[in-house]
Amino acid sequence: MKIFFLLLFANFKISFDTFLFYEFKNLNYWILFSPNLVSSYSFKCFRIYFNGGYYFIKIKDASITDFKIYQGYIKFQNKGIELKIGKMVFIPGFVGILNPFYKQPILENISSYLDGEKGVLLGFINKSFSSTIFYVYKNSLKEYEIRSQFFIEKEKFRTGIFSVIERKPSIGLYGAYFGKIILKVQGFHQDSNIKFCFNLENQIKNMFISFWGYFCKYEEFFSVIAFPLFTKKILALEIKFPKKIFEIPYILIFYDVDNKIPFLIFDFKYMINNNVFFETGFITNKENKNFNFSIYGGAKFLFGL
Amino acid sequence: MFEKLIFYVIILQQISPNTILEQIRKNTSYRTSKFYAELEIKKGKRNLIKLFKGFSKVNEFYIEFVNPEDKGIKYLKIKENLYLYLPEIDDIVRFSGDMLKQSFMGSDLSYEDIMQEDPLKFYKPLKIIDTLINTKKLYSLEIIDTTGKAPYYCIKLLVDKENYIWIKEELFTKTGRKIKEVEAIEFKKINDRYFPISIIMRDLRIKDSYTKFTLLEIELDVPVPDYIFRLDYLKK
Repeated sequence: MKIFFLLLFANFKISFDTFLFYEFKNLNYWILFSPNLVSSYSFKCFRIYFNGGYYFIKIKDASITDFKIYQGYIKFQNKGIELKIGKMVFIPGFVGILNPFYKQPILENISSYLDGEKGVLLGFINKSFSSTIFYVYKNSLKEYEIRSQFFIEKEKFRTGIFSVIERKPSIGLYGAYFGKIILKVQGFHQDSNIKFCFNLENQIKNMFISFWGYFCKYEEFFSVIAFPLFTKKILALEIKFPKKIFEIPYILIFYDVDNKIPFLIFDFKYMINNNVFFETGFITNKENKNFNFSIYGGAKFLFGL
Repeated sequence: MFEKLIFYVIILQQISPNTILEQIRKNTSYRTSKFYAELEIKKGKRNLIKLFKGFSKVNEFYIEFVNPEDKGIKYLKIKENLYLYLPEIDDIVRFSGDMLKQSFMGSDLSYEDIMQEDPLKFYKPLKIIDTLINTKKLYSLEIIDTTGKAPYYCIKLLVDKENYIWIKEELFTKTGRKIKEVEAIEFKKINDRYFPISIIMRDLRIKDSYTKFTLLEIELDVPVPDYIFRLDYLKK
């Protein structure tokens, strides 16, 4: 009876993801297959959220099979106060491809999931301000990190501050203007490294265009699906087509200013119905006068209950 | 003398375009609403069905998707701002007012289309013609935006003479280009007025597609608590 009651208020999404990536230059490839479950259950002030599954990756000479929980937490919320315990995602500042805390591949694909961190989060939100404190549990009780964020919002403006306490405190500032054009800026100072990111968003006809800039004092690691990238400066242009629902193109042009490498990513998602999606695309870059070319494709079969 | 009297009676029977527009507005405007709706997006042989529930209050609305594939996605509009709750990050993303012109979940409808509490309030009648379609007596009413605030500059309406309900709308830009067509296919009598509960919208810029929006349940001018239009409710 209890199980039936639980199922009645729960939501389940089961997906089977497949993905293939092939790089022509080094004849490298990897194949991924992953059955995955996303489930949430809400009752009164409580919510349980789970996202995880098995994944099987075949690389040229090796294969990996593992079970992974991307997120799994219990949340209590009463009015504006929330308390979360478990593994969760917390992204200070603004969500986006070049956010210094958004540690995801620059190109998300149908088989990628946001990977959270274990900890305890306490937050408060109302119409004009929000504050969050996130205790990140690392390997042992001696290793931890405390991230906090506070922002105020007034009409078209938002301004905020965030800090990270690890070995010593670090601090960041961010602000945004939400008008016809949206402008977001954020800066962060950590261990003598300074990171700065800006983002300008505008809707032009049926396109949503974002212009990005990322600058830091020391080299940072970025990942573009399979490409590792170490750089200090990136400029990017992201084009989305929000009106498209069955055939969804996505274009990302970015320039690694430090290494003088331009990248072009063209992604195309094709939706059959609510349950079946396909994705295909290519990545090309020019390095030392040579063009590198990679292709990828995948499918997602999604069943919701 | 008798002929003159008949002439005055005819004049009195001729209802003014302003009165017709007022009557249509009376039928379609509301202060608050509570609804459960279905969205069918059709393109060629493919179609998507999305279900959502929500509330609206003057210029604020709250929408929560309930079909399993999109469950947990929520939208909140407060004044000119649109907030989107994404369950995978358990956080809120803010958009500015221009995003309201975007299509609603990829359909032929925009956020503005579905959530105008009084969609015809910016318009003034330009001309009216009596017309007859399939033995049905109708008014063909052309209205234009005089404020510059409406999503479409000109609308041509076909209005049922009996109940003052619009059965078809053609939406034009300022340059005179017809961009959308809306057909009301089902009405429901709510609080002594006929309200369209099922419409088909075609964006003429997109080939072979349409969106059918059906209000499976609708209550108008009912008490809607204020806490629904708060950011903390969006995260719940």
